[in-house]
Amino acid sequence: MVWIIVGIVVVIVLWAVVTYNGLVSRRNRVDESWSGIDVQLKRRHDLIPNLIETVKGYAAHERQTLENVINARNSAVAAQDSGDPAAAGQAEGVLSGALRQVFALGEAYPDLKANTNFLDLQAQLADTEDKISAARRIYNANVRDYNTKIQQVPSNIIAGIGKFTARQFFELEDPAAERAVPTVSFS
Amino acid sequence: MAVTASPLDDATLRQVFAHAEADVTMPDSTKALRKLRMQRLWQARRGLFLTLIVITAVIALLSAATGYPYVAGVVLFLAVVTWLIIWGVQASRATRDYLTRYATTRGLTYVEDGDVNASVPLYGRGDKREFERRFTGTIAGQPSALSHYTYTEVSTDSEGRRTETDYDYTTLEFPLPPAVAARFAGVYLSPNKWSFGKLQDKLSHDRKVELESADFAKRYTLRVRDDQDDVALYELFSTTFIDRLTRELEIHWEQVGPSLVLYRRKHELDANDLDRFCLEGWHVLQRYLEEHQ
Repeated sequence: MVWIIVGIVVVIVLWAVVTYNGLVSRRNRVDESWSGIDVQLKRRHDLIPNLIETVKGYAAHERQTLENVINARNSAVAAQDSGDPAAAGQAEGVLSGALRQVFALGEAYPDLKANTNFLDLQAQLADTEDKISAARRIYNANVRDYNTKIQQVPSNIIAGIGKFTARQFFELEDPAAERAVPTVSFS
Repeated sequence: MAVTASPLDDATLRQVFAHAEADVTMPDSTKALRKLRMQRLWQARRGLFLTLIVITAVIALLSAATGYPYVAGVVLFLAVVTWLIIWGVQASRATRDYLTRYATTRGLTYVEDGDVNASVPLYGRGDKREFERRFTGTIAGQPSALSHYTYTEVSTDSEGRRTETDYDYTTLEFPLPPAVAARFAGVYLSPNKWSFGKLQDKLSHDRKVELESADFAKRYTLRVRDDQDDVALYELFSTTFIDRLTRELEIHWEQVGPSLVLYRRKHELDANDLDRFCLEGWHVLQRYLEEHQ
């Protein structure tokens, strides 16, 4: 009888250890995949000053557009440093909107559109956007797995004891784009 | 009756096969060719066949009438075996004629064997491996090879009886440029199958990846080599491509470094099925190449 009880205790302890280690592993994967997003966001932020200087040379009086990008970039850098995915996602979404306005300037200024530096920066930023999108999907997949595990029975018992808390998804939001009503012209 | 794919339109076919001939029409099927061959053989040798049938019938009747029914049985058995051999030879030649015509019209070279290089896991399976047929040439703008590949597993039971089980595949090989191959260490997309989960990941040198789409997960199992870069993988499997694989395409592949091998689980013998397979392979190849541009 004693041995049965000892056996049950050993099994429970082993299960608890394996579950705890699994949760730690999942949490580390979330952190690792967030650093993948971090690298791409930094790359994007670093490309923007060069873009601003290039555009100034052709469209210096488009001050409002350029200031919007600079302010959005600064906000995005601050949000990234805070480590809050929700705040970073919102700030990056605003930055994406501001960048779209800058690239739209290329249609109004043919010389700017033909500038090789502008085209190269545009291509690099587009590539970075793709990598951010891929890194975001990886991060959100890891967050999904981690959040599911800490909520499922019986691993939620170990999650509660070990103080494992749910992590936020990283979503890119552009409030201005979402509020804007699309206009349709048949002219 | 097996359902075959609808034919490709001419423009699409010439996109896939850059060196296709002006006339790409094919016979209806290998069965139609076999039937034609048997008809021609009958017409060419009618006298001989009729003579043999009459002799066989006379011997069988005489044997039965004179109390030697087993002789009649042997004679009839030999007649059936002879007919089956003739039918088998004509079927084999009809298949070869059909596939030779297929290769010629698509600007490909047809060979009836080839060395198997274990560039991907599929080409390393089993105890014996062979290409029964190969069509080499330009497909989807790349030097490639369309093949009928078979690997054989040999097993011996406790009483020493040997059993061989063949697994037939139609494969399509593309070489990937070095810059593309450098981003993809190994990607294996196979039909959905059960696995041992994390235990299998630990025992093998690859791991399972679950993408966002439940419909995709119902159809496919995606495994990648342990050293596969996840960002490159998710860029390859964009949401648009995932949707396409789920709704339009049903294709499986193994890619290791510069070797991309797409496959289907049987020897496709219909021209339309082969064309569709090559078209689907083209879509997958384009996806890989787009990630490099």
